[in-house]
Amino acid sequence: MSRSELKGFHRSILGLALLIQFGCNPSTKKPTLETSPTSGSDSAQKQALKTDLPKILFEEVHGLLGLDHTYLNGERGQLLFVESFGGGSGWLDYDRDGKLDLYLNQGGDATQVDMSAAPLDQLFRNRGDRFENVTASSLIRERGYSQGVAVADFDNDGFDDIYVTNVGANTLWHNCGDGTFIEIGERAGVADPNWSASAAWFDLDLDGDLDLYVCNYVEYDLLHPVQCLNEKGQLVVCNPKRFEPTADACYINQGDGNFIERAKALGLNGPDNRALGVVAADFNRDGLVDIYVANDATPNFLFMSDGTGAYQDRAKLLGCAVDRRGQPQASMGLAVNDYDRNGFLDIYSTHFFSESNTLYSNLGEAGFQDVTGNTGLHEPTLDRLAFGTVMQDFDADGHMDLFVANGHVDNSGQNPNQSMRPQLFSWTGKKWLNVSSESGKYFDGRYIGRGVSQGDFDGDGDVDLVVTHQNKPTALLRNDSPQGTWLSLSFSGTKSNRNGVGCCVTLTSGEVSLYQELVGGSSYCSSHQARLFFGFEGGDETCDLKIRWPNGTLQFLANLRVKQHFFVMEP
Amino acid sequence: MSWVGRCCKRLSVIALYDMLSFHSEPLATESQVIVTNCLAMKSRLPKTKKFNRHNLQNPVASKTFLGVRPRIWLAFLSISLVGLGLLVYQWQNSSEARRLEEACSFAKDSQDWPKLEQFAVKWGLLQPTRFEPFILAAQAAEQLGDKARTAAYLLEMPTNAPVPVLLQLSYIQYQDLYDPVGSIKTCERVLQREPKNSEAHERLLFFWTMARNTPKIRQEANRGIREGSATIVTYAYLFGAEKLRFKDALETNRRWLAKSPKEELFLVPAVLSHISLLARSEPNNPTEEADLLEMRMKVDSDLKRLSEDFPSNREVIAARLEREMERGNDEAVEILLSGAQKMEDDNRLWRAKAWLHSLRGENPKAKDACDVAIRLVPMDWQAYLLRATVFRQLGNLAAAEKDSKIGYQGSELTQQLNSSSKVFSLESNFYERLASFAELCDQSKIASSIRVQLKNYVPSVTPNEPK
Repeated sequence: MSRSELKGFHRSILGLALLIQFGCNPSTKKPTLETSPTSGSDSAQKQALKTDLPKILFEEVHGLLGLDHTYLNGERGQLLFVESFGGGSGWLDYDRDGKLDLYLNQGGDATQVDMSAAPLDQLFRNRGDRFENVTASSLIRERGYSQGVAVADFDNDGFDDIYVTNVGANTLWHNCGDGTFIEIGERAGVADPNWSASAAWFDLDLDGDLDLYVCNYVEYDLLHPVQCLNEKGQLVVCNPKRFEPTADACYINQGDGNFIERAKALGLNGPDNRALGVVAADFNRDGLVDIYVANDATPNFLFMSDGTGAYQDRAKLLGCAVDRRGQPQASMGLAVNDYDRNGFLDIYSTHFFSESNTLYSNLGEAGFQDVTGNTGLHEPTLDRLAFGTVMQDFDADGHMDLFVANGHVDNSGQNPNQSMRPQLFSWTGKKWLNVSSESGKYFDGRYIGRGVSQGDFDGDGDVDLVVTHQNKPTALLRNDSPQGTWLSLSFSGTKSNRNGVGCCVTLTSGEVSLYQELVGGSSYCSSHQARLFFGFEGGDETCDLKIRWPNGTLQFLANLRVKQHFFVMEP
Repeated sequence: MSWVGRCCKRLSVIALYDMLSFHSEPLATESQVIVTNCLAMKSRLPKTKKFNRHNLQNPVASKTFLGVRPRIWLAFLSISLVGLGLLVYQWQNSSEARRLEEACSFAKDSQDWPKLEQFAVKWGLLQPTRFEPFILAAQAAEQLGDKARTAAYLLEMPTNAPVPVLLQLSYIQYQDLYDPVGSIKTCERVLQREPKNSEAHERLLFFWTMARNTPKIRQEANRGIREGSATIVTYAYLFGAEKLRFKDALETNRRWLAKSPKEELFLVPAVLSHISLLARSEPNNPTEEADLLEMRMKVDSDLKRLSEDFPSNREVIAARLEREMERGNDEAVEILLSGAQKMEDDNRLWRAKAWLHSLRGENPKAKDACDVAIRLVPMDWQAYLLRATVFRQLGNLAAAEKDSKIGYQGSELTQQLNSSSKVFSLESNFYERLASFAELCDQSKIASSIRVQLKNYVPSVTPNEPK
């Protein structure tokens, strides 16, 4: 019995168990649904309300599948600011065997001068039934104090490359195609020396190769770290405003293996830029890529192109810089998808403790609206400090779900909230319902969650997750949810970038119409599989696709059978 | 007038009348009636016979001395004696007062505070229209460490009390006696006498901010601007009336509450400050975490109880509106709005109305409600931000851009205001930005007033709030 068959069997058992359970116990609490007129947007009102039980289930299988990795932040009680932020993960198929492999960051001792003994980032090869650590054979010797990872085939040679952000010089590991990598960061001109967090690959100049946006955080001297005291004279983790911000970088791919940094020249800069998260997507659907940047404790940026190649921050104008009350928040991670099915990508931004995470509904030309409270997301996240996040339809029921990794930055050891429970919300058509407690044992545990990335590592068509924890094993969350109707897409650009980053897809099936985009970046310090996952209910057995490639080429695909994965070549 | 005074006056009138009309016989009778009436006034007994001018008619003739009836002589002598007695009494009093003043001076010089207090009290009793003995008594009591007695003496001061002493009284009332209500009254007393007194004005602003009373802050700031007592900080208070929060507000309100546990003025800000603190708090250990979660669970019931106890309190209604808006609970907001009709002049109510309309897609109504909020409080940046959202949805991007700009400037100014340790230590650049912001909000008078005051502004380097 193959892995996917096994998983299907598990699902059947689970479905039966659920049926039996609810058949025998009529008093079992079901989520109550609001049937009064919805107060959200029109598109939300038009959506069918989710009428059955939340049935998302994740199984934590890192041990089962040999994914042995723990991100060590190197803390020794000094409460160094730098210890609070790493690290992430990135899905890639580095050997092109059709199975998804995984790159994982590693920290170590941030103050260490001799880097030769520093622990390495890890590359795990997916062997189908297990993950094999192939770091040594891959020749990746990433010893920096790593924060994040961004995966893409930047040179369109057919093999995914790896960009690693560090506290210190970033690295670009070029995939040689033979199972090995070679570091070319400095040669390529992308060895950003600052403390960088998330990074995103996307085709900014629409020239067919991928450019790189790097979130730089603050000025920080690893060898002479600043320590902060509270009013009582006790050592505490510093406030980010204690440090000078560092401007983000945008490296334009020259197509010859070299990059040129042009952030400022393009207008991709703003005040108090302590960036931690980034996503590149076409938010206003004008065919040009926009860049949303999550800043820590200051207003977020939304850089939009004016069509001439110059960018301008329009976040304030369009209502997605700060929350409803006009307060900037400590933004960390970003999730992007069209939860309200109005054809525009919405933004979910994760924040600090006592700050609610914010959901900005994209209203199209009318900009964004903070709908956190209206959609039930305000209070559940107030007592969490969130980093990585993914908005995806995990059970393919036609409604988006939202995964959030939580964990405090205060690693004094005294804070009971340092480790926090992750959260999973499910969109009901009117409100987000917290379904964490019903979605697997993983959600009962407490972790210092950081990066989250999505990918279908077992090839069964649904979205699995990997969550990096500080000083606790990285979790591999296999999606065992019973799936509704689904369809997944990956792309191969011929004129556009090979990964198809920036492809916009409208799926129609019966009366269902869904819009998604293969965005650059998102989440926190992590890199998703370059694949779109659609879930829907009430559609036909087939669906039609309208694909807009980054260069504007339109492609129509009709009568595709659902519950399949399609590999789409650019015409 | 005291009963003795009234009796004397009436006796004098009768005597004069008798002298002029040469009546003698009824005098005894009438005098007796008066005395009886006066006694009745004192003892509140029913009067035996009411005095009436008509009772003086038909006088009966009697013997005279030097042509004047003896009873008139008697009355004249009585009055003279009373007058003489009063003169002697006054002379004795002033001699005694002079003696006590000298004794006070001596006691003060020799720092004999008990004696000073003793003499000053006696002096004050002798000359209650002078403020000096009360100040000396207060000074002595202060030296003896009794702030309550200090304030009590100062409170006895006559209306001509010097303003600096009244300000000192208000400080003692506020700071030492935890009697902010008394302090407010004293400040208002100062402002009645000196409407341009900036210190009393600033103190009131400080108090109302500590008490989280937005309408009162705005009222006092506007009064100051109108009457000429406004200083540059007045504009910081006016701008930050809704959002300016003192870090020690909870502690201070609790201290006040300890003295007056049911006083609305203290109870409401104490609960609201507590709720704000809960929202910001992070536990340090599992016990604290459990406590915190439990307390957070109780916030709604605390607010509900507060609104039951003080149903028309604007701060409570505004806090509940904000809480429900944060949650996106439009039904709760609608219910609260329907019960808050008396707040029609409060911008916060109109913002909530605008939010509700916007949420329900009623954008023209939402815009109108924002307009009202801005008309009521022209620097209401939150209303501008909300109206920007509404304008975007109405397709008016130019107006949205303008409102966004104002809204964000207001938001940034609010952060700057709250990040300053004290209002008095705000950097000059805050006021420069505030002036620009006021201009954006069409408040050119405020902008120019700020700029004028800014020329002489030096931020306080010591952490002082008005004393």
